[in-house]
Parts: sequence; structure tokens; C-alpha cells
Amino acid sequence: MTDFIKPLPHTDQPLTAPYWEGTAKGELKIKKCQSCGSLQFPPREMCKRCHSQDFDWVAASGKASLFTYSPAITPAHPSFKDDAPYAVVIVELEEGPRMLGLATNVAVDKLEIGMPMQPVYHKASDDVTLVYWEPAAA
Amino acid sequence: MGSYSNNTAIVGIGETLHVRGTERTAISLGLEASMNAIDDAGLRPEDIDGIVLPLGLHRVEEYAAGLNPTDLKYHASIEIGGASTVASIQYAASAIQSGIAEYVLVVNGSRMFSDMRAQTGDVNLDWLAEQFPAGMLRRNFEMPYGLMLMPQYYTMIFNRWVRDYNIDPDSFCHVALAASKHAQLNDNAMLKGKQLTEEKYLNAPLLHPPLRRFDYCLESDGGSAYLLTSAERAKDLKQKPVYVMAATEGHPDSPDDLCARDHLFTTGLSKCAGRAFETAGVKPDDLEFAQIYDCFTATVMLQMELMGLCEMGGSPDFVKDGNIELGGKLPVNTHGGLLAESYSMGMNHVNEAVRQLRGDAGERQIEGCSLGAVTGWGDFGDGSIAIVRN
Repeated sequence: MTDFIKPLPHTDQPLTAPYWEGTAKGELKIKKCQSCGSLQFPPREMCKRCHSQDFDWVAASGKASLFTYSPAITPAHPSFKDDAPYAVVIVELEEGPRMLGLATNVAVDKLEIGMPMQPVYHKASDDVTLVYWEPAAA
Repeated sequence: MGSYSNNTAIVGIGETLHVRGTERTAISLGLEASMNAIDDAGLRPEDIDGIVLPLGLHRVEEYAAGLNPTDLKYHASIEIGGASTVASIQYAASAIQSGIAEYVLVVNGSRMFSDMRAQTGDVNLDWLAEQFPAGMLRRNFEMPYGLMLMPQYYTMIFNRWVRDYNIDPDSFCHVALAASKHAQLNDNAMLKGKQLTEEKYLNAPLLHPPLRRFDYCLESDGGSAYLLTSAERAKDLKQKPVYVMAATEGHPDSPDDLCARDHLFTTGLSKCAGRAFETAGVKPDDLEFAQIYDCFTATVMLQMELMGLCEMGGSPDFVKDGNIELGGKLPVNTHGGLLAESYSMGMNHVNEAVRQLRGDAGERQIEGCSLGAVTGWGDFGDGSIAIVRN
């Protein structure tokens, strides 16, 4: 039987490399527009508020709440067989932007929109640290 | 007013059989459907001078190689997922109205069942990511967390909708039952002979909560096509013309990503439906049927709210008591739709609207109907709608 391997992100792409450098250090890096100061995720080429293309990367606090979620009772791909049932979540950072990741340390049916969430840094390989999300104390 | 309002008509439709698994290529299926549509219109393939491909898995040149039009003057590939098929009417109609082309063929051949099922593990995920907008985001920020199937994306929207508008997911049942009932009257429906019951629906497993087994559309292989020309030329062709009163498309903000979006329920359809009804000069209440893109049951209900058939949160009431079944207040997806006829990228919704308005829908004909709408929903919330009459 084939062993299926989970798809890891490509961490060397110019638009997103600083994000993955951040997660490796336990930091949640988001892009901040140098012109109008708006924060955004996922990383973009242009600020949709003021259309500047100049950005800095800043670290978010990691304080977040559950915006919505998508439970998978059966895996989307055989490489997630051992995770099922699992839920992919979108969290809203206290700074405003939303991020997507895998829910961890919580049963799928215990997720509730609005609940406080915090990041869990999961070292998936020598080069890649993924960000999972778990419930946080209120 | 849209400049093409009532000036163009759908004059030919064609389909292949819809199957799960085939040795044939997608182009081969698309070409067969094209020939059926051209023949239905009483035209010849050399007459075609415009080709529009909804969902550009292939190139127009590949279709032109077989159809061999004398002078192909116009081509377009429409890249907004399941919204592309209805949006294609807008591209075809505007090319005809502006005089660029006379006979525009819209065709899709696809092997969604045979080629695109991630859950089997047979699909190359780098390739699959590129079938979505912003494939880089899909591949790097979603697939590593086990998000790669369409129901997972839609469920992100549905779970927030269910919570914000206090929707009872059991109400999705009415959409599934109506589709199944209608499919029993359609010889080309894959689920003809397999009628769904409420008990069977409610006892089926949750796969991506709140979605149960029978909330999902079919996965199928097949080809579908339709053909437009000017209202003037349509008079001389074989079939009763079905006039395009309006066809519009719309896009949510950050159309390539759910996370980056400010408003989850300001979608393509919520923007383009009003434009279409205004152009057509009719109201949602005037419709005698609606073929609503039904990749999932809940997609139908959310679109009913977004296009103004009812208030936000009002769809569970709208769909109950047989209201969306044949004989009800507004029959929806009279062919069985994507849920019970075939996936067909939603091309089949357009073709069914044409059959109804020609009076060719057989046992499922809505007697004397003259006005209907067709919608599409694609990718992460792109939308399209056409309003058609006879």
C-alpha cells in the first residue's frame, strides 16, 4: 500500500518566505502596509486599501478568536487519515486579519464560533513549522 | 440597461450522457455535445464564429481543430469556476450584440469524476492547487492543514451562515428531496430510479458538518454545450428562441481567498443579481422557475437569500412545504440539478431553462412558463445569473 505524505508548504517563495521564517521562531508574521499601516493576511503584492506595494513584516500577538470552521469527518486526502475527524479553522487575530489552520487539542464538535484561540507551533520537518490552533483561556 | 438585453437568444443545446468514469477525453465529450447543440439549432459547425469555454481546462484551439469553423472571430475562456457557465452567456451575448461574432458556442467537456478526486490520493496536489485561483495560497496555506476539497471551503461559509442567521441544517433536506423528485422525470438524470426519502436523507452520515451525504452534488464525466445568436437570426433557425433578458457576473472582495474577505456574505451573486433584475425589468417574485447552482443543497438556499428571493435567513421557510418542487410556488432545478442529474459544471442548468421555455421538458414541463433565472456559483464566491424568457 502506498504511503501518502502530507503536502508541506514551499517555504522559499519570495512573497511568503518571511512568514515561514517567523513560524520557525514561534512568531506569527503578517504584512503591514508602509503607506497606510493596514495589516493583511495572506501576504499580498498590493495593499487593497491604499494600493501601495511597500510592506514591512510585523509579529502578531497570537490572540485570536474562532471566526468559522470546517470539519472533515473523512480525510480530504489519504495523508490525513490519522487526523480524521479533524477541523480546519479560520481564526480572527486581535489585530484584525484572519488566518487558516488545523484545529488541535479540541474535539471537532466542541468548536464554537467566537471562542478564544491561540497558535500551536508544529515542527513538521527540518525546514517547516506549521501553525495549528487550540482553544485558549478566555 | 445592459445593451444586449433581449437582443440575443439561446438557439441550440446539446449534452452527452453523464457518467461516472469514461475512457473518453474531456475534449471528445465536449465535441459530441457541441455537435448536438449545433444540430439542435439547425446550423453546421463551419457556421460557428465564436467559442467560449467556461472553466479553461482546455484551449479554444483544441475545439476549433475538430469543429473546423470557417472563420473563428472570437474566443474566451471564463475562469470563475462554477460561475463560468452562466457568466459565459454574458460573453457570448456581448460579442454577438457588438457585431464581433454571429454564432457563439459555449462548451464544456470535463472528467470531474475521473480526474479531480483528491480523496483518492491519485491527484497531484501541486496541479490541483493550480485549478483554483491563487494556487500558491491553496498549496502553501491550506493543503498542509488538510483543506483541499470544495465541500470544505463551502462549509467554512455554511457554518458561519448557520450560526449568524440561525439556520436549521435539517432544512437542507427540502432541496435534496426536490432535486431527487425532479430527477425521476428525467431520462438523462444519473439518479433516476434512486429516489431519496426524508428518512434516508436524515439518517445519512455527516461528512463535512453541517453537510450530510445527500447534500453533495454528483461527480460526473460528460459534455454540455449551448449556442447563442442574435434575436434577429434566431427567428430563422430550427428552435423556438430563448431570449437573454440579462446576464451578469459579480465577485466578492478578495475573490481568491476566504480569509482576506471583509464580508463573508457579500458574494458575487449578491452584487450581480440586482443588476440583472434591473436590466431585465422584472422582479425575483416574477420568476416561474429558477435553476440554481447546487454544488450543495445549502448553496441553493444561501443563493436564494443573496439573489433576493427571500431575506437573509429566510430560505428554510422558502424551501419547505414543496414550494420549490414542480407544482410549487417556485420550482427549482426541474431537471434534478447537480445534485441528481449530473455535475456538468452547471451547464445543465442553462440547458434545462431552455427546455422549459421551449416547452420541451416532457413530464417535468412547467405548463406555459415564460420567464426563469439560472445562477452560477464558482471558486470562493464568484457569482453569475441569467434571466431568460421565451
